[in-house]
Amino acid sequence: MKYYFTLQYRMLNRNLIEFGLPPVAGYILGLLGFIGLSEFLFYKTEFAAPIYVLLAVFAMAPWGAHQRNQFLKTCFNKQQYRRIRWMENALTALPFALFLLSKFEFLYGLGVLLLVPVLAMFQFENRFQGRLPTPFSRRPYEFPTGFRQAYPLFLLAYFLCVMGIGVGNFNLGAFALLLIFLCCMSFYGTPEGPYLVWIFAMEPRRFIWEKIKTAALYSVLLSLPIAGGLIWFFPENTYPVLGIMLLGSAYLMLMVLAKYAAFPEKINVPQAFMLGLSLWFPPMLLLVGPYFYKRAQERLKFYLQ
Amino acid sequence: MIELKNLSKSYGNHDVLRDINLQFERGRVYGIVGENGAGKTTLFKCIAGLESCMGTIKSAFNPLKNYLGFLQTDPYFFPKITGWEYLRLFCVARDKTEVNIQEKNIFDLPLDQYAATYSTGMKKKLALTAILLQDNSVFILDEPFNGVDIHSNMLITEIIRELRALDKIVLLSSHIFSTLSDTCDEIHLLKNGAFVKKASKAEFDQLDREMKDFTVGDRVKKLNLK
Repeated sequence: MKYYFTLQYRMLNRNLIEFGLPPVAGYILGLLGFIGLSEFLFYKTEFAAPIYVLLAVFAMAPWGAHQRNQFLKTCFNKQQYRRIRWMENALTALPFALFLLSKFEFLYGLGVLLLVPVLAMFQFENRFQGRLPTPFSRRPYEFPTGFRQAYPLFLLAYFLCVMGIGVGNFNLGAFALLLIFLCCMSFYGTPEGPYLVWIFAMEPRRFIWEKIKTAALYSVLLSLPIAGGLIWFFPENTYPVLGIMLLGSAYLMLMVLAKYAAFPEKINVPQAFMLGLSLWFPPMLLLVGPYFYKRAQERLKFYLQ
Repeated sequence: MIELKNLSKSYGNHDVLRDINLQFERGRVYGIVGENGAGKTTLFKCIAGLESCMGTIKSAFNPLKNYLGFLQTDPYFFPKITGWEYLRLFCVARDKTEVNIQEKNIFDLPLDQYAATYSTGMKKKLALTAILLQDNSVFILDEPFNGVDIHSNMLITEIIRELRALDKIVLLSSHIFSTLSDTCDEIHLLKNGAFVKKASKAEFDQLDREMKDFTVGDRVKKLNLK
């Protein structure tokens, strides 16, 4: 069992190195990012604690994937298998529980810890054999595949929006709108294989334009119900809603450009840093956007011309 | 016509392709055979422009990649993309948005299902259908018969014959010699990154015997099976 966790540790380090980060730096950045995002959530909404518990469940859920558990069961005996599941859940839940306790949310913190053994008893298997219909099939692939993988997050966003409208909390609705764009951005986090770019008979410029057009159109489509609801119920906040949509679309476009600026590799550390800088200070979009666009054209030239 | 001149490719000190010179004409099917690691897939990727290489590739098609359908040995499928969406992606890639995909589903694939759930053979058939929908002029088929059932095998053989009749250039690799002898006009033997033999239709039987002698020889006897 010890060797199993050693292997997990090595695999994590390899992933960090592949991403261009020394493992120690990766852990420090991860910790800082976790604390920063957690603080942001608690600053933004009064419903942070229950949302946080939900996030902890989402974080633990992948350990219960059916196929993975079947593999573990073939490698380890029953006792070892149980211990592995407990340990994995505990290691994942601990940061969430500690942060909740630091915010004096003792009940929620305890709740997260109690979820450790409970979730360790379950395996999650997608028994849904059918196809999840999406309105995005005519322009494959990012949106149909991304939506099918992340649809619970979209449901969560719509739910948060309804909750926000219900309790008259505009900030919660705005967070839901932001979540939609963040989810759409995640569709562009991993590059497709070079073959799936190579098949296009297009100049790099047109290829990028088509990708941006699709991303902008479909993300607006997904965010419209929330934006419409917020404008209807909080008409005084129409401009902030439009601003979030505009900025969200701009970041999504930047993400598309960042993906192809690194193509066929994953987005590397300097690019991620520039992306983060633009998120933190939006005027940077005007500098980073054209830079990524130029790089993307260069990177795509080999596969498209 | 496609002409390869002094094509070479190496990874560090390891030469994968060495001075390849070959010409492909319209309306002909070319078989490329060789052991695992002989360089077949690398050669195909170089022709397609998916790998950089030394030497020149001249072609009547400009740029060649826009007229080329490349069936990969292990086609990749996204986790949640349906067969229909995969075919649609290939059509969109070539601005062929009016294709009736359902009508052209000659392998009767369940296009509403996620492609990643398909069997090996079904994936191969889906990937082949995708490049056929693009109306390409040149086809590179890397192991098209791999994992495919016998009925589809026959159908693929017929497709290759039809492509030849339509004056297309077809490059084909397979580890099953009979599939090559059934479809090819000439077969080239690739060994350690270089072409060592060329056989025309009349010489296929001899090439088959030579390959068997070389590959099998007395190796099985060495196992001393009891």
